[in-house]
Amino acid sequence: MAEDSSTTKKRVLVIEDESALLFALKAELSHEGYSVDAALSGEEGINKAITGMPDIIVLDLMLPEMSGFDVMERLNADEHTKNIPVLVVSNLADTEHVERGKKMGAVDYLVKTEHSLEKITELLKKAIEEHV
Amino acid sequence: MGKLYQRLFPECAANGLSPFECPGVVFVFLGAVNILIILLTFFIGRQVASDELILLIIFGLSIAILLISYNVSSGLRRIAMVRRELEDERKKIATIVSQLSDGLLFLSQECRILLVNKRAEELLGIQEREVLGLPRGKNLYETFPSLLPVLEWCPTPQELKNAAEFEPVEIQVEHPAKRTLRVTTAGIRNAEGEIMGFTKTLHDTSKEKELDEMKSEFLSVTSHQLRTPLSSLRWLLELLRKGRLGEMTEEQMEVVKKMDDMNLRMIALVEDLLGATRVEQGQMQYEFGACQIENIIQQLIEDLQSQVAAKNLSLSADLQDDLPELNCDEKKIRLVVQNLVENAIRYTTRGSIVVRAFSENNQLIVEVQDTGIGLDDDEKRKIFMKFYRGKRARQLEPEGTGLGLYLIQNIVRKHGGTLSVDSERGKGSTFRVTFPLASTS
Repeated sequence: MAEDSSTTKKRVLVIEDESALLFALKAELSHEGYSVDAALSGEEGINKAITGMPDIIVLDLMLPEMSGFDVMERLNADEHTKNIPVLVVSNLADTEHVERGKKMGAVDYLVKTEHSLEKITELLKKAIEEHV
Repeated sequence: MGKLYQRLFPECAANGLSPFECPGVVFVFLGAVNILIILLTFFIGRQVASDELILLIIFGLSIAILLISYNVSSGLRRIAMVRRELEDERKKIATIVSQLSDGLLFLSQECRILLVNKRAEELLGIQEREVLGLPRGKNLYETFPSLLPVLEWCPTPQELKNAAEFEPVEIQVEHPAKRTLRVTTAGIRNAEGEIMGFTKTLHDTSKEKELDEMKSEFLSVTSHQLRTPLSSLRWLLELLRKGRLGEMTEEQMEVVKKMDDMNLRMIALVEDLLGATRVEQGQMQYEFGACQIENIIQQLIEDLQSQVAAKNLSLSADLQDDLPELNCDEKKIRLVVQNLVENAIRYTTRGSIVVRAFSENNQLIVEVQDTGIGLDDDEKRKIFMKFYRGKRARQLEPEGTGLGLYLIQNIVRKHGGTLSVDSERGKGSTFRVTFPLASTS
């Protein structure tokens, strides 16, 4: 929780083009004690990942111009960013997308409608504990 | 007078004949004339002159001939009228048959074609006059290949005697266009109940299939598009509920909770729709592995306890010890059991729900029994159809999609199993799922 300072302000980059979802994620994660940075497109996300070196990236897949899979490919190809864990949070729920996401190295793949913010935060915390 | 006529000549009266048209009346009249003549000859007190007698007889006969000819001509008029009525009726039926949007063939008991309507000519690429009365067989099929799938099966006279209508079958015709036709065969009997032949109705389902595919595509796209606003709402409402955006009054909180519930319901509906489209497009993917059905059931019962308690029902499990392991897609089988139990909760207003699992005859059987509204025979027949919802079910739960059972039946079938229901209206239902054991599906 916020008061629990054992999570020494981990830095989360959220790449999400839907402003309502971004607002909710930011509000919840900040409340839970994370330092949250946001990007509204893949390109912006990659730049912020390279310059900001976040502890973890929360990535949407259906982004304008560049898809989330493209973003992962670019991040994986870059020496600096390839080790940043990526948590996919998307509305694409088909097995093929889930498998592709995991194959590309996503630490977890969450379907937005299936989970509450609380659950997402809990899984994010778990991912940070395991991968950061 | 009318009453006397009705009593004396009921047959004439019943057929609407006037006394002048009634042969019975003529008969009685002739009899009366004869008797009059005989009486006259006996009681006139003197020898009747032969010319007097002849005159009398001629008088009687001429009246009789008059009546008979009136009778005959009115009879002829009637016959003409009936014939015209029959002809009108025949024309009416012929027009209806020719205008039917479905193809129709009328066949003799020997499976020879006696009638082909316009639509059937179009669907099969034939002309009625070319095929009338021809015996089925290689010769016919070589000239008219589209007739082969239609006439391949014809009911035997014995089968016609035993059944009025036969299960529809789907056939494919290649000529004049590639089409899928649903063929329904039905016996035709005359007024005495003797079999005169049978009809085959051809319904073109190609368009329906095409439309169905379009509908699936539409559903799939919209459902995907719906997920984004629905998940946004879900998360934003959660922020409000948790007071992340400031304190709310009790009333405001109540409203937000209701909105949240409604939104979750919408999410569930969209997921149902997506599931159904996936089934239809054959896109449902399965990951088979070893499943412990008792774990699935116990976990579900735990998860659903709050729902059950809210309705004052009881939910329990009756599980056989040492249930065999099942080869299944655990996530999907969980969905199957969950759907059945949630339905039971939804459509039960008082009483209990029991989930049973046992093995029998190399099958693993799961039963969900409730004391709910139950199903009548018609509902039982239709309950697994896509989008079908019983009337009372709609009243009790207006929001359902009618897709749940359709969806899980498909899942069960993919596991090589069956889903069936035993139910009585007002007493409750038992849904039964069977899975074959020792099979890798």
